[in-house]
Amino acid sequence: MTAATSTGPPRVGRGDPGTTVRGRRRPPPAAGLLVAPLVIILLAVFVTAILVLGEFSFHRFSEGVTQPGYTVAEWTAFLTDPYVWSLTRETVILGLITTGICAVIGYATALALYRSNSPRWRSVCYFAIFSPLLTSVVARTYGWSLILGDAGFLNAVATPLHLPGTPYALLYQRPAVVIALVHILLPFMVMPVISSLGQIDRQLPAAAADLGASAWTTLRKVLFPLSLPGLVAGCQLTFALTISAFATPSLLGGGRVQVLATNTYSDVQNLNWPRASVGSFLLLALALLSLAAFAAVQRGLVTWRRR
Amino acid sequence: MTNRGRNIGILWSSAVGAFALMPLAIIVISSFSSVAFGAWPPPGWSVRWYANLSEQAGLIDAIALSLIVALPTTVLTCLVGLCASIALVRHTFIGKRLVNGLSFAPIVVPKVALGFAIFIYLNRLGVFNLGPLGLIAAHIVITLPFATTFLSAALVRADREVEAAAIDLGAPPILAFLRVGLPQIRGALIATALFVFIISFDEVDTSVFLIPLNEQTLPTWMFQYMQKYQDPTLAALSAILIAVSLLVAASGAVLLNRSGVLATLLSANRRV
Repeated sequence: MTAATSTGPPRVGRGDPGTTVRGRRRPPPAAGLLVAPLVIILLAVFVTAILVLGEFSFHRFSEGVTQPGYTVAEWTAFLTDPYVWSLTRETVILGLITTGICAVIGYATALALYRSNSPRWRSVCYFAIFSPLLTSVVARTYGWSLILGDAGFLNAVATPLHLPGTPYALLYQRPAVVIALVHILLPFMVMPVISSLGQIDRQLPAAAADLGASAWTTLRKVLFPLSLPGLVAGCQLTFALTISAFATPSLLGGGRVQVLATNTYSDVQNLNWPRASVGSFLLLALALLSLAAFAAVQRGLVTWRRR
Repeated sequence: MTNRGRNIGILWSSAVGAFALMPLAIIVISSFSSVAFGAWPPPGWSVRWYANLSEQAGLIDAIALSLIVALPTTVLTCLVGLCASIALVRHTFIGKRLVNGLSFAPIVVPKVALGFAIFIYLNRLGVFNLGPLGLIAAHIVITLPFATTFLSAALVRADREVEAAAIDLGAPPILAFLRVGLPQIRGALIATALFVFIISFDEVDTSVFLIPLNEQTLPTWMFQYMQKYQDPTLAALSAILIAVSLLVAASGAVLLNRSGVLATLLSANRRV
C-alpha cells in the first residue's frame, strides 16, 4: 500500500488496483497483507488445534491420567467397540430422519414463499422462520421441553381431543430430539432452496404455463429439477449440523439418546481425553464423508441435467 | 399459479411460521406461570421467576463473561473478515482458492470437536488459565466464515467507480476505501457485527469445553441449569433473551435488506 502512494502522482486508470494509465501492472501488495490475519488466525488456532487433537488421540488413558507414549491402542479400542458403532448408527439415523423431514417441510415452505405475490408477506415469513436462529439454542430447546413434556403444551391440547396415542411420551426420547432439531435447522434448509428457486429464470415457468402446463406439472418438470441443487445444498448443511448437534440431544435426549457428540462430552468429563479425541475425529470423519457424498450428488445432478 | 394454490401456500407458510415461533411463545407465557413445574396451562400468573433471576448465583458473572468474550470476538472477526473479504473480492493472488477454502473450513468441523481440540491445544501450550482467551479464539474461528460471506456479498455490490474516482483525484487507496468504499457497506458491516455478536453470545457447543474453571458463559450457565432444574426461572431468562434477540434480528434484517446483502444472499425474485 505504501508503494502505491509514495512514487509520485497517482497513476490509476480503471479503478483496478495495479493498473496505471500507461497500462503497467503494479502488483497489489495489499492483498497479501489483507488476507494475512485471517490465514494466521485460522492456521494458528484452527488447523493447529486439530493437529494437536490428532497427536493426542495417539495416547492412552489409564489409571486416571493420560499416559505418555504413543500408541494406537485407543484408536483400535474405539473403532472395534460395538457401542461406538451403535452410537454412530444413532447419529446417522438422527441425521437422516431430521434431514428428510426438514427437506420436505423446507422445500414446501420455500415453494410457498416463491409463489407468494406479496413481498410484505414474504418478509413476515422470513422473519418468523429466520429470527429464531438468533435466540439461544438452549432457550429453544427449553421451549420444546415445555411443549413436549408429559404435562406440556402438546399433551394439554391433544389429550382433551382424544387424538390417537395421547398422552404422548415424547420427551427424553428420539422423537423429541428430532422435532427440536427440525425446528432449529429448518432455516438452514429453507435458505439455499429459496436462493436456488430465486435464480430460476422467471420466463421458464411462465413459458410452461403458456404451453398449457398445470401448476403441478410446472413444479414437477421445471421448478423442481432446477431447484434441486439448492435442495441438495440444504440437505448437506442440515445433515452436517444434525450429526454435530450437542446441546439439543443432550438436553432433550435425557441420556437415552446418545450421539457421538454427547459421548465425546462425557468422555471429556471423565477425563478420558484420548478417547474423546478419537471420538472427535470419528465425528469429523463422518462430517467430511457426508460432505463428499453430497458433493458427489451435486456433480451427479449436473451430469443428469446435461443428458 | 391458481388462486387456490396461492391460498394453500399462504396457509402452509403461516403454519410453518407458527411452528417456528411456537417454542418462543410458550417460553414467554410459561415465564409468567405461578408454579414451579412446567404444567400447561399455567394454573396462575406471577412474575416471581423474573425476581428469582436476581438471586441466582453466578448469573451476573456468566453474563459478564459472555460479554467479555462476545465483544472482542465481534470487533476482531469483523476486522479480519473485512480485510480478507476485500482481498478475496477485489484482488487475485497466489493461493486464493486455498484461502477461500480455509475461510470456510471451520463450518465443516463439528463444534464439539473444535471446542475440545482448542481446549487440548491450549492445555498443551499451558495457557488455558489465561481466562477468556480460549473462548475468544474459538469464537473468532467459528464466526469468521459468516463474516467473510456477508462482507464479500456486500463488497461485490459496492460501486468501485466512485472509489476509483477518489483515487484519480489523489486519495491514497486506503483513504479512498475508508471514505468512499466503507460507507457503502456500512449497513452490511453493522449487520454482520450484530450477527457475529449474537452467535458468539449464544454459543454453547464449543464453549462447554473452554470455560475456565468455576466460570460460565450465559449459554453454558443455562445449559447446566436446565440439566438440574426444571422451574420457570430459565423461562424468565429465556424470555428476556428472546426479546433482545428479536430486536437485534429486526434491526439486522432492516440493515441487511437496505444494503442489499439479503438480496444477494437469497437471490429472492422480486415481483413488481
